[in-house]
Amino acid sequence: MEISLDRDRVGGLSLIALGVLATYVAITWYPLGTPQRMGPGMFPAGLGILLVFLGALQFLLTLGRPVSSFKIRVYSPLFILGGIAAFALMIVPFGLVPAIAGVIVVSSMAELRFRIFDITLLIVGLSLLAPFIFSFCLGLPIDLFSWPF
Amino acid sequence: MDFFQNLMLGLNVALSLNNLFYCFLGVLIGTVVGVIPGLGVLAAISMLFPMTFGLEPTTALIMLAGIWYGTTYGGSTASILLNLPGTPANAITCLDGFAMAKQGRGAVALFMTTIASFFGATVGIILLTLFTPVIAEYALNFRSAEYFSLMLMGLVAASTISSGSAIRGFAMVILGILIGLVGMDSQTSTLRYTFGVLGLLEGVSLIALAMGVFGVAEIIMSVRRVRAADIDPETLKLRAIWPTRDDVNRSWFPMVRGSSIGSFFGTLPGTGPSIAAFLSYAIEKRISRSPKRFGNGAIEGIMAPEAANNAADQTAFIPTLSLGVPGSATMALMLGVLMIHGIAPGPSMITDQPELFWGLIMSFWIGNIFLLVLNIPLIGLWVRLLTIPYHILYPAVLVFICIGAYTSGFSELYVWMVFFFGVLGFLMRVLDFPGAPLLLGFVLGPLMEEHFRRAMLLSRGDFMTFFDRPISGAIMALTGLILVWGIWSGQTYKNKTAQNESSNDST
Amino acid sequence: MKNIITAFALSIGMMTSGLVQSAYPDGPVTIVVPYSPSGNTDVFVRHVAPYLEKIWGQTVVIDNKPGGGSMVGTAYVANAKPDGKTFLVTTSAFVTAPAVQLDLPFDSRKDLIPVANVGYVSYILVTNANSGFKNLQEFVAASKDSPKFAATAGLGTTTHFAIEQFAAASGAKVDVVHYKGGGPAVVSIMNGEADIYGSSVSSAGKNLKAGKIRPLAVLGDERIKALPEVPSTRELGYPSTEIKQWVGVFAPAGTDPAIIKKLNADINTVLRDEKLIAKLTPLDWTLEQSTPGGFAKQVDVELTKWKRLAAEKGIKK
Repeated sequence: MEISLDRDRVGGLSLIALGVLATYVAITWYPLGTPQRMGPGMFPAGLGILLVFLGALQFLLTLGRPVSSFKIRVYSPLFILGGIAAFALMIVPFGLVPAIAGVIVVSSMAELRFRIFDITLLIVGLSLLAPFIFSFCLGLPIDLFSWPF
Repeated sequence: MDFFQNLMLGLNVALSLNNLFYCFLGVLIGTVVGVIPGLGVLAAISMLFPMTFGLEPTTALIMLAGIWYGTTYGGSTASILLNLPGTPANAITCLDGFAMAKQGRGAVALFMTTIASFFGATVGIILLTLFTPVIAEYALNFRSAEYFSLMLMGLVAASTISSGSAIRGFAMVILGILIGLVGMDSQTSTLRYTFGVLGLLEGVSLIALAMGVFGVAEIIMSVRRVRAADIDPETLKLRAIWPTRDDVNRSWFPMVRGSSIGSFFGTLPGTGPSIAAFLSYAIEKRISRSPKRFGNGAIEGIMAPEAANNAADQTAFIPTLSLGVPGSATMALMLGVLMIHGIAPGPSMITDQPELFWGLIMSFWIGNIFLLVLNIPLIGLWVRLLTIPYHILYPAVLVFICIGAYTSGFSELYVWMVFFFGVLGFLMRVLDFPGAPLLLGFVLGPLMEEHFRRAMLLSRGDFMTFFDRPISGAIMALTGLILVWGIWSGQTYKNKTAQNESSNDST
Repeated sequence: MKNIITAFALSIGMMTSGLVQSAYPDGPVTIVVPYSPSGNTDVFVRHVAPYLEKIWGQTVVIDNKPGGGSMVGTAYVANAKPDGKTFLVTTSAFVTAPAVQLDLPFDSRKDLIPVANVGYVSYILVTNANSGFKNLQEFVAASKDSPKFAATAGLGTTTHFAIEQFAAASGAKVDVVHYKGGGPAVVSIMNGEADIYGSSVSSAGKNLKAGKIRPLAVLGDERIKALPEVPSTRELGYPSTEIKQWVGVFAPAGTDPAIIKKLNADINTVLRDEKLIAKLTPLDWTLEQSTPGGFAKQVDVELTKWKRLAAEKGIKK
């Protein structure tokens, strides 16, 4: 997907946004204290201000330069991150093996092809390998299968 | 006691069959733990700690120490081959190491880092052997103001690492520090930036951050772009590990410099291998005649940091053994082993327990030799991993990342953290922000804040304390130099590229 | 024939009692220590753990969660599942920290159940070997001229309150500087960054014996066996400075009361073991037997006491 904004400008603005957020939370929610006895808010507030400054600097340096648009991938992050989310959602209610299957199936779709053989191979192989390493060798207490209902 | 007598005594202890076995076991476990992404040193040592109860204290320490420095050896493997730092100190190895792997020189990278690690460890051990009491005394001169200045210097150096603008690097450092501040403030117990999520009490998980920003982001960018067929089968033969003459020539001084920096930082409790690795990389890049090569597979870019972090691993024992002050959580565990057996480390330990002290030191040598012998043949095995078609490799890596994250805290919260940092890492790639400074900022941030606050308290609010104190002042001056140097060379780079572009345009 | 029947009956008896006992615990037990490894409490727990493992036949996992003067680990257990397999072993910081840390994410009285008080250690006031204060009186006098820095192991820890209580009783003027735990606090004395610290004997460790740091007095009414030549603060003319650091076991609210009783009983059994006592006495430990009810009462009384002291003396963040 092509974005017709200048990359560095977007970057600079993002930094400014983050800095403002950090400083705002620090100042309104946490006590600042004095320079001698600094409270929990002072250091992060200062850092946020620095971030705003750096973001502004980056933005300003782009002025006078032609806008260089940039591309951003859509399907890969969608499916890869989706796979991780699948694991996070499935591990506690359904157990390790279904979660492994979940992350493999969803993240493999980032290939934009459904290779049923490879996916099955991966699921079987990792469902044997991962419990072997983590449950058997390291003795970590993880449920392999469970049913929440 | 005579120095050689001490060494002989130590060798005697270290070469006993029992101690040899546990030494080997320790380095083996360490290497495996270091290689598998998602498994942390602390977790491994904690799990094996009960096993040490039945052992003699010397043997227990030998094994735990083996795990400790073994993980750094293994950690560089994942860094180079998968762009996944096995330990934070290895994060900087990802930069040039992974680049080398993409150029088909992965085997060389793995081989050379093993050599660099051994070299660095050796230097560290020599210093440990000769100078422990002296160094310990000297380290006491470093107080809060000095620690803050040192960390600031490390972070400024880290921001100038990336070949892009220093602004981006510095911004990432700051973002990293902010992420590091999430959790309960240790000075006042206020919960910061947790937004009601109780699981963030202890802060963000380092493993989740590293795997998300480095591992997941890398996978997102590589899917459908990497073809296993691109890898030349020639690079897989055992001969492939052999470096070129050019490589070797370029490696000597970086190793020496890296080891010195690493040894120095290791002795200061709390700073550790990560900052040593980052700083030595930054220095190599600054003094190199061809800094452009850094980030694109420059061999100095892996030799210096690897030598540094292994040297720091060894010298980290100095404050632990001679002062009883552990430099990190892992060192604290080792201290715990000693104290359970009724041995209190301290200035007199060297004279009270010579077998323990010298036996341990000698075992470091032996352990490193084991690691050398262990890791080199394994290189072929690891590199072969790269021939697996990517569409099969990456889901497997993701599975390990997810499980590793989950088991680091037994909660799906950690997997969500990886998710979140995967998003962040992806956005960082899109917007061209570097990841290594983020990691360093995260690791050092909270410590920096603690030292800053304490230094201000002790100086009764006087900010000039960082400049008035001699050691701190010197460090700040150095920091300023690095900053100016970084901005200036960044500008020169921009001007040169601008010149090149304009000259291209005119043709 | 009689013998066979007796033997048979005995073995059935042993098997069933074994069955009842093996009902708890049915899996590994996690002890959360809200301090870094190798600290006073951590070493204590690691000494005791193998004995508990023997009684229970299960692994005891020690989980260190330092931070916030023990409050991070305490908050973790307060919010943990009350499955009878997660416990907190912490110090008297449990009753002192809430007096200054007012926005904790848990309620000290409601979210945690006191199980047992295992024992206590005393505090000694230490200073740097070359600090020029020949004794405690000189220190107090000097501090009245210009305030000195007092190290603590963290905000709201017992070391913090120990020094504040002493300052209040003696009139000494000190500014407190918080460190992360006993180890760094002792280092601050060794390098002279702080002038005085109320340390436990094991934190001071060999550095004391090696002469790098010097004990000025034992905080309290009596001298201690581990350091018989050191005077007590009461001897030197400062009464009302008595303070001890106790170590106690807590369970998350909602844990089965039967499990709490069994845990208390098992702990008391372990604490009577002669070998354990022999190992811990040189570290200045005095072990105690307790009941959950008695301990709960003690915790309640102390929570109120320290809160009042903090309010009176204006001790805050």
